[in-house]
Amino acid sequence: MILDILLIATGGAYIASALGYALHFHQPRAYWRVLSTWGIWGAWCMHTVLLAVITISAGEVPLTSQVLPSLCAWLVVVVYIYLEVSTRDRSLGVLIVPIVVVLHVLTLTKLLGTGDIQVTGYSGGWFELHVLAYGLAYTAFAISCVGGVMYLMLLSEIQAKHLGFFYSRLPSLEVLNQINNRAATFGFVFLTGGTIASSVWAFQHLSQFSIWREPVFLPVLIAWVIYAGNVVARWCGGWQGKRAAFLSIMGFVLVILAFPVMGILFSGPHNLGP
Amino acid sequence: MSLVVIGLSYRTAPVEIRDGVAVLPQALDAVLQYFSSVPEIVECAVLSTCNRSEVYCITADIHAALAAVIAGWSEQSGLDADALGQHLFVYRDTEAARHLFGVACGLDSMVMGEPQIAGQVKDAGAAALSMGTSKTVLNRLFRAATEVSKRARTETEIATGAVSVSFAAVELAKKIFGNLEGHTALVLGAGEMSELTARHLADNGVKSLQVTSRTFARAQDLAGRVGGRAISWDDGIGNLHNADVVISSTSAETYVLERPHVAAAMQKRNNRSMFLIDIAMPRDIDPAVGELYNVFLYDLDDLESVVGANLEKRKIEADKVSTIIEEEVENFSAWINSLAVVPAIVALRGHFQSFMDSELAQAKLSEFSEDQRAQVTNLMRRFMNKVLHKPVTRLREAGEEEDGGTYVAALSYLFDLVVEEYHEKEIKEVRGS
Repeated sequence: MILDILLIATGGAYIASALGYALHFHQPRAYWRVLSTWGIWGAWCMHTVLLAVITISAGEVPLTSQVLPSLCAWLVVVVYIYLEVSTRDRSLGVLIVPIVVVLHVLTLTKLLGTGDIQVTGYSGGWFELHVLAYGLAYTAFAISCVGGVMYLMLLSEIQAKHLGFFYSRLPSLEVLNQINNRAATFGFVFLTGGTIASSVWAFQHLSQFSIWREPVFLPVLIAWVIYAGNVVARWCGGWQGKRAAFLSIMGFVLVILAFPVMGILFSGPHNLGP
Repeated sequence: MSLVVIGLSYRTAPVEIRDGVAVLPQALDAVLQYFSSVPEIVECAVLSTCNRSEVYCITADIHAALAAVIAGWSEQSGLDADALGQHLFVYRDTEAARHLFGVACGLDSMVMGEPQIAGQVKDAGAAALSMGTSKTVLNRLFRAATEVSKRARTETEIATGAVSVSFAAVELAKKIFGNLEGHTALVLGAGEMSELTARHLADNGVKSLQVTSRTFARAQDLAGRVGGRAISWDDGIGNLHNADVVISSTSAETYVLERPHVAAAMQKRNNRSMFLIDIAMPRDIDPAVGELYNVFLYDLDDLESVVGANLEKRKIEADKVSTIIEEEVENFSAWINSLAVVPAIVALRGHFQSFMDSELAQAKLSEFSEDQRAQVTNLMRRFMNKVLHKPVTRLREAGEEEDGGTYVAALSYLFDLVVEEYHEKEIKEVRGS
């Protein structure tokens, strides 16, 4: 019962906050600012309590496809709140908070009314490290993607010499490029670490496991190559701005395909359940 | 009593007249004292900028106040009083409040929505307050004007977007690079427009400002004025890759920067963004340069169209600002109207107080102890307050809705009250009660 209330209340607060960010982006007013920021803080606090309740009920942090989207959403909000507080800019929220809403709804549809919290059945430090690193990597990639999309929106206005809606609302190209740049680099580091951890764990624990038959392997590999290329191109090839933004968006689309979609659609270790 | 503004602005008077009556900051106190010494003027404040001079006053005799202002300005400027009078505007009561709110929001400025005027209105109110020439009404009026201008700037886009070419260029540079501190700018040519832009860039903290011209002496001259460093033409062109922002305004008849040159510079700077501002006529920079990766090229036409679009946008926003002004004028009017009932409230309280005092005097309280007498007096006072509470509240509300006069007349008739015009002491008394 308490779980259902927390799931719905958290979702409601995130939706209210997303609405606040959208309205504030459209028309900057003090009341929309209050709605968006108070909404995100309130939702995050309830979300923290929700994850604590889930963990206590399950007896461990349930790293299953049932709860993982919500865990990722929680991490995205932590990073977003840090960005908002440090830059005093709310424009990123207009794209980031809806991602959070979608991730939370994924968990909500699986948990609401069931009360049945699944655990993975997998254990071991390498497994937990893999999941944590991937969670952080997805968070960073989502933020990098949002930075990239906003960069392209602002760039299109500046290049078209028609300074309008986005010009007056988004932070500078430099700030968006830095967000994209740093998030992609952090994400790449965590993706690499997570992949190494998962490989070590799989070879230790799954005797019949063949990495080549794993459905998420190919998209992860392609995403890794794209982000590796992205990072190298940024730091060594001068791929700043537009090209880097495109790479981040492509990488995130592949990451979405790799886990949340492939993992859910196909059977295998990534359909994490008991 | 009426609120009146007597003034002239760039809309009504040429610059010679405006210069004549303009009040320098160091002379403001004396001018305020002069106007406040006029017997008919109860409160006054002076707003003086390069585009307007206005005297706000509370007076019972508008003609006397107008005559005093004309005489004062005539004496100050040496201009003929009749000639001066032709350039004046006079607004009273709600029109005066509407005018000040519009001025504070920049609706009446030469460049619509310009932000400096809000600070100047605030300073005018503060100066009158510190000199003691403004009291309840004008203090409230100027506070409200400051609030209205804040609302206009936060709730509308009246003050957004650059409205000069040089500001538009600097705003764009900030939108590309974020903070300009730590960035390098190169000025090619020493024209007036490049000087303005360079000055704005320097004000925004560019790390290094280099100036070059084919005539080195001109470069030195401009560099000295804008706090930059003069370099030779060849050094400037040769070190193009070090510049994040390039402002070009030479009088050359052919392109000074062509695509291969800028492409080579971009390669050297690892494709980091470069913003080129071509404000020369004919143009200095080959338009094909703008096609290069991470190069942003804006010429004079582009910047002028940005400015034009911003001005258009401000005109559209002016309607939203007018709505805010109307709301605040209504609030201010309600407050002013409520002042009209203050004397009636004071008279009513005085009437009941004297009634209570006379009854207490007639009562034989001498047999009571001091404590008992105090208790009886307090009882009577509490009774009087309770009886008067509702009528006074209703009277205040009626005052805000502009039909206070009817109730004041009825009260005067029913209780035989003598109601005079309000003054400062009464307002404080009523507030205190």
